[in-house]
Amino acid sequence: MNICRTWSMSAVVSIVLLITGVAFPAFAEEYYDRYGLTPASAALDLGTQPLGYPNGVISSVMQRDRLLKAALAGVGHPLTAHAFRRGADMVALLADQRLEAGLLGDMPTILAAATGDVWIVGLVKQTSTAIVSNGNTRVAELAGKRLGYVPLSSAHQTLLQGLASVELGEGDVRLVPLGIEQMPEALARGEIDAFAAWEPAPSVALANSSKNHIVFRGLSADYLVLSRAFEKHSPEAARILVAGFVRAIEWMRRSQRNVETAARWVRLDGESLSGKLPAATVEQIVTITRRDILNVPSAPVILTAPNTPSPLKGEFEFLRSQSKLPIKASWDHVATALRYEGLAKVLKEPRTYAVHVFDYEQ
Amino acid sequence: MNRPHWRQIAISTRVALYFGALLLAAMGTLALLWYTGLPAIGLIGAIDQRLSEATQVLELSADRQRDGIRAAIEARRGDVLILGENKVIAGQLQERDGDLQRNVERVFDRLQRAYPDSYLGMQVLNPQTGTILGSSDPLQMGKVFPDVSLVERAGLTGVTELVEQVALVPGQGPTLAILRQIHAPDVDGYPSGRVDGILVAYLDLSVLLGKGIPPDQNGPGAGGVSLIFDQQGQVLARFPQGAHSDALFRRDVHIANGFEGTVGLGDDRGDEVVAVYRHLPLSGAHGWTLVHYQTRQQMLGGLNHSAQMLMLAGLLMTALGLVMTGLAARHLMRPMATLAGVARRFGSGEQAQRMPMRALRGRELLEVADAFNTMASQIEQSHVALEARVAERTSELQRSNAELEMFAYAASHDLQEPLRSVSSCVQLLQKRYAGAIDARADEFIAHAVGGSQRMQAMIDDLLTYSRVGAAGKMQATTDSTLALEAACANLSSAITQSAGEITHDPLPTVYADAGQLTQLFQNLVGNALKFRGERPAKVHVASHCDGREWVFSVADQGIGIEPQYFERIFRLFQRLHTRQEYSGTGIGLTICQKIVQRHGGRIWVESVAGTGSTFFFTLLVHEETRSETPLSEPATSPPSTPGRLT
Repeated sequence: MNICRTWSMSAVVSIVLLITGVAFPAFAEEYYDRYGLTPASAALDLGTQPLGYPNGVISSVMQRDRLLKAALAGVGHPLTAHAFRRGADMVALLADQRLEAGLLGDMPTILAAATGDVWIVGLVKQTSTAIVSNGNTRVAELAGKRLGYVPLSSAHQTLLQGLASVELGEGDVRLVPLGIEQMPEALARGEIDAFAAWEPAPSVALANSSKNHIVFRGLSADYLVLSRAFEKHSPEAARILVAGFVRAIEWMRRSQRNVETAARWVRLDGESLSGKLPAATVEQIVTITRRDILNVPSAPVILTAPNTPSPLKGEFEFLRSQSKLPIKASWDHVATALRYEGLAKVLKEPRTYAVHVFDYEQ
Repeated sequence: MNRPHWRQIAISTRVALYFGALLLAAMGTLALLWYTGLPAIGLIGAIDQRLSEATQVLELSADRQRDGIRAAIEARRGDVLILGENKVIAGQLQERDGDLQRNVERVFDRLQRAYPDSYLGMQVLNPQTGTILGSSDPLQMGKVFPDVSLVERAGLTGVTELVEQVALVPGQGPTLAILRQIHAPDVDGYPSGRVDGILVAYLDLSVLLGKGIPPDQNGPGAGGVSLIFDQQGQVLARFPQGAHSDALFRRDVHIANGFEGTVGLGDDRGDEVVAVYRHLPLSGAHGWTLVHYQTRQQMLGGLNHSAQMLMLAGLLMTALGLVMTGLAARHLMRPMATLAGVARRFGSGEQAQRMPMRALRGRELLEVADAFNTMASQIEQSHVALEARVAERTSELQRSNAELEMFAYAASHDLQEPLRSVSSCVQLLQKRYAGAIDARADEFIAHAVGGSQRMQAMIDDLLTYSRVGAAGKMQATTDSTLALEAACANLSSAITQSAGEITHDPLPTVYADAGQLTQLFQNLVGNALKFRGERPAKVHVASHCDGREWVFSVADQGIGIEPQYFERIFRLFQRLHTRQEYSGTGIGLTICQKIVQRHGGRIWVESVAGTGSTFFFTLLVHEETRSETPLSEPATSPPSTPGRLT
């Protein structure tokens, strides 16, 4: 029964990715195939994005958390982190339990949650994802231009929002799929006229040339998501992971030195994935991390306010209006995913989960 | 008014026009390039560049304002963080210590001193009931916080901090509240995770936003207006008061949550407004929207002024260039005008005129003036020499003519006497011995009489011819009708004999020798009578004026003249017929020609053999007869009346 369910979820996610226009060869080997991820693995496989900040910063800290590793190993789920270039690559893996957790942008989070596969645990990042253009100052000037983007990412959503704000659509521009780390250089070489991306790409591009403008920015967020199947099977292991997540943020909030250390770690992790040291400097990474997560009130708790739409509701409706979601996608699944109680339990019992005790591999 | 022909336009004017046209073309080309052309200097390129730069400045200004407000909020959040983790307050909360109120008052007082006017107040709340346990305003003690739901949310596990817009007093403006959980540590100092209280700090919005948006009226972004909207689109602040409706910007607040970007908006007046949107995050997805805008006119203000000044400068330079070119050309060509004047006076006879060399500047002008002066000197010398030669030749000619005329006169006069003796003797011989000798003798004597008579006639005519030049009278106003009548009177016997009819049109008064004019008519009319042929003679005299001279015509219906003889008939003693056919010496028309030439006129004949001839001659219209004679038109009504002279 479980196997059937797993395969049905995989099929749905694959169909979603196909109809949303992500061009990938169905049987071609992907870079993450070498990770050997299987649903049968006892390890807690955590998907990270070391090329995005502060998403990658948090995961880099978590990977070096001795307490986390020990605690997870103690419950039979040793932590294994896997680096991904984009969140969309994790969606299918989360659906079929080859990944137990991942740090995703809002669009992949919605795609994953809309099928009921994951819990949305907490906020990893709250920032503006930007469209950066060379020479142009307004979105309307992008008509007919070449735009770099990461398909099915929060930047993709921002791109759609930006184009929609001036009554343009994807058909009015030339979309160029690119890796996040390639975009500033591609813009500098004139291979693209603009790109939509999350940090650090906008900061790097703005630092590269005064001709680069941010023509549009929309609020976006990254989240830590957890496989519901895994959480159901090992709720304590899930809370231990969440505690490691909270601990990582707390540790960085404690001192500037900690954030700088984390920035250096994420640069190394990014180099491991891409083969070259990321363009963003430690100072840039620290600034981004402070602004986008450490200084966000109450982070990583996802705040809701009365008389305002639920988090991700607006994005969900927008993606549906842009036909980026399958017809069967349900907001109820997303709303349910936001009701994970593990984070509150961890915060309520800081001593139990050692939230304020730190032991990192230096 | 006659326009001057292009060739007659002065060189200075031409030079001014050429250079002016060149200058205008250059300025026009430059203006065209400036307006549409090279991106570096083109107006359109400059506008794009300026708009791009101004937009960048606007964006930077908006960024600065956003960062300023964010920094101000974060500074206050830092204050609240420190107070929230204050162990004394946490302990007092845990123990419900009565000194909490005094402690809150003391802490608030220190905050006020450290950051004057930044805070409106501070409270410590019970997280379960919302009761105010400590307050900067003692009167609020024991009351319940008005927004219970906010207290509930602020007390939720993990919600360590909220930054929210609240209304302290209904009807008054909103303010910003920072709510932070207070956690009393466990006995060993480890955070308990329990919420013991909520610290609330109220910020003065005007101070907070005012510090974030300092007045910037002199920098590159001068003239920009900043607005801050809350989540519901309510305007929280405006710096300074703008001319545009808030609604113009509010509609774009919800393009996307947390939208930031630059948009062009058209206002009601058709002006374009460039608005930069920035997001000011509060708690969760909540946030304010900062709109910083400028009109396109403001963004281009300096450029428009520069463009206008540049255009004005260009026009002034063109005008100045034209004037300067004109003056320079006139200055350069002034010697040429002087030379033209000198040449004109030289041509009118002032042959001493020379171009003054002293005032001239320029090699070309000096060469031209020198050449002119050399030429003038040569012409003057030639003229003097020529005049001398002409005078000499004229004198010789006059003397020769006079001698010739004297000779002709003397010869004809002196020959008359012996001829008359010979003629008398021969006639006596014929009279006394006719038939006395023999027939041959009578024939010889008759030949001698005829020859002497012809010689007499020829000598008379020759004498008449010579008198035309030598014994001519002074010319005077003469009625040509009277002259014709006198001539006809002299010819009365011939007219009668030939049954001739002489008619004439009204004839003018002319300036002529009356005797010679009579002689002229007499010879022409006499010829008409003589060469009448078989028909009775009909002669008509007419005249008309062609402006400068009177043209007389004497027309007959006689035997006419072959065209090849039109010239010959005016030669001395030239006859077209034998003496048997027509008598005469062949000198009459020669005398006519000489009389006409003496009066400055011409004589010619038009004739068709067998039909008749018309002799024309002209006489100059003299000043003394001009009043009686229209100069510009032929006379249509000559002064005398037509008449018949038979």
